[in-house]
Amino acid sequence: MSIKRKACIAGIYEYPLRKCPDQSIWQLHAAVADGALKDAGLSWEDVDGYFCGGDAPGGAMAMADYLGLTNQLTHYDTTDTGGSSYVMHVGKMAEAIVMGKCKVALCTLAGKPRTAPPTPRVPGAEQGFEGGYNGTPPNLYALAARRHMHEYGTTSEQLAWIKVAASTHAQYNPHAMLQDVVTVEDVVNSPMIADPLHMFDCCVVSEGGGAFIMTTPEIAKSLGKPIVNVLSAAQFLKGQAGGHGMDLTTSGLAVSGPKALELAGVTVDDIKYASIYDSFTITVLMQLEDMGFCKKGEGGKFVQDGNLISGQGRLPFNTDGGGLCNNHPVNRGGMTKVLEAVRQLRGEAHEKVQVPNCDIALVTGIGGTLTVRHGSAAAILERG
Amino acid sequence: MTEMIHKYPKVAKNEETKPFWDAAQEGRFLVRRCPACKEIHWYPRTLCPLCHKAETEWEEHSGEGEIYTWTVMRKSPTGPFALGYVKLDGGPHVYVRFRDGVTEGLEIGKRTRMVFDRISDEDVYLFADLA
Ligand SMILES: [Zn+2]
Repeated sequence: MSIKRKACIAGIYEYPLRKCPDQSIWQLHAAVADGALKDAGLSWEDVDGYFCGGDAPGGAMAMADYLGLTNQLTHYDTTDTGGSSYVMHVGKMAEAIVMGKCKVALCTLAGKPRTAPPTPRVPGAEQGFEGGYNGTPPNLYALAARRHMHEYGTTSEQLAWIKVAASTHAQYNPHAMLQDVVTVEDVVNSPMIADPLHMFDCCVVSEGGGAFIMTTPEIAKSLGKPIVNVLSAAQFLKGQAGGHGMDLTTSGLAVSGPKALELAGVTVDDIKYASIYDSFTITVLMQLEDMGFCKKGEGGKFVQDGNLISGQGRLPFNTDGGGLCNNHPVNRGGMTKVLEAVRQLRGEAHEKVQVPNCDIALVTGIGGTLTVRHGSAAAILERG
Repeated sequence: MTEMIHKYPKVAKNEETKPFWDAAQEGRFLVRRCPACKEIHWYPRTLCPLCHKAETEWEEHSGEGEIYTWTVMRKSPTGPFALGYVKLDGGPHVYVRFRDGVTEGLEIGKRTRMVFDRISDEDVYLFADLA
């Protein structure tokens, strides 16, 4: 059974603030849900499916209770693979709709890591052997960047082009946390955080969140908004595999990406816009290779000279400014990736970055930690 | 043994990993090898995560290996430190932090050894050092 063109993203909302000292986490979840429902033209009473990730304290049961949804949900799902959870949810929500488990599915993400650190994920069996090392996203992603440079000669200047492209887009987003356009020199001269990653290779830490609504094609058509179909979604877990077959230059997207393309019946040549998970510049570079936009090891050449800049390069990416410049709420970038892809397919992106004739878009996610263990996800969306 | 390091959390031990930490107190580095596929893996588990055909067995390893990748974290309230993966001789890649103070001279392919440094009255913890 396929999900292709059997579910539509009908509503989206991104919280406008990047620091929220006066709002509770729960309040933010409610606000983004309300925003997405209003955008869709649906009401709270219509929601019969709820999906969340580890940012929702207590999971779907507690959050649905707070949201006043407990006596109307026929499907609910808490999945946590970090920031890729919301890209995975695109597939899971579509599956639930196709299976008839719900008709109007809501997915929310919200939090405030700058005001109050998020509760750490409950550790697994690895804790005794990893928990004391203070491995954090910058130093752990640096391990992949180092290895990619060693194996393929990738340079800091090439990685910097990814940030340059994101910043070029962010200047048009009035809500973006960083709105200044930066140069390759600015990136490589920014403070070294964890060699070889500089400060500007890292995404922002921001508060707020976002939400989207998925529903049946019939309901979506009745709402009057541009139709955004789900074509496919795929996921793949990658980890240390007992320490064998170590390859830190390839992400799980090398499996989930081609699978999503195959299920959608499209190729990378059909992708007009891509929301590529951008926790760090190296995350983007590896995923572009793993999706097949270029060969493994040639990501550096692919991204340089503005190839990711809308109106200029082959593959416009993260036209909202991405996690690198706009928003990476609760250290989880998957939600905002979905939202900008929907804006592009609707033709609602900023006019300076809107991709002409944007009919097919890719959304990717790498959640958890790229070099330790991560859940990868890809979803392909289509203008209806 | 160098002076006590107070910035590490209590080591999370369990029934399955107690022998590793007991040996660590004596400075011995244990790994688990599978009698079916003959491989050692990391981190230590009872059911072989590689072939799933047998329960693995403890054995002592020299702790020697080489750097697969590394970084030096500059933004740390307790000072710069190095992290990486080392490939153990004849065995798996191990995600490990380098011993306190080891932030210079790191290169992919350089020889390393595993060491245990005391982090509290109760615990030693596993680190890598340049050989
Ligand atoms: Zn085995």
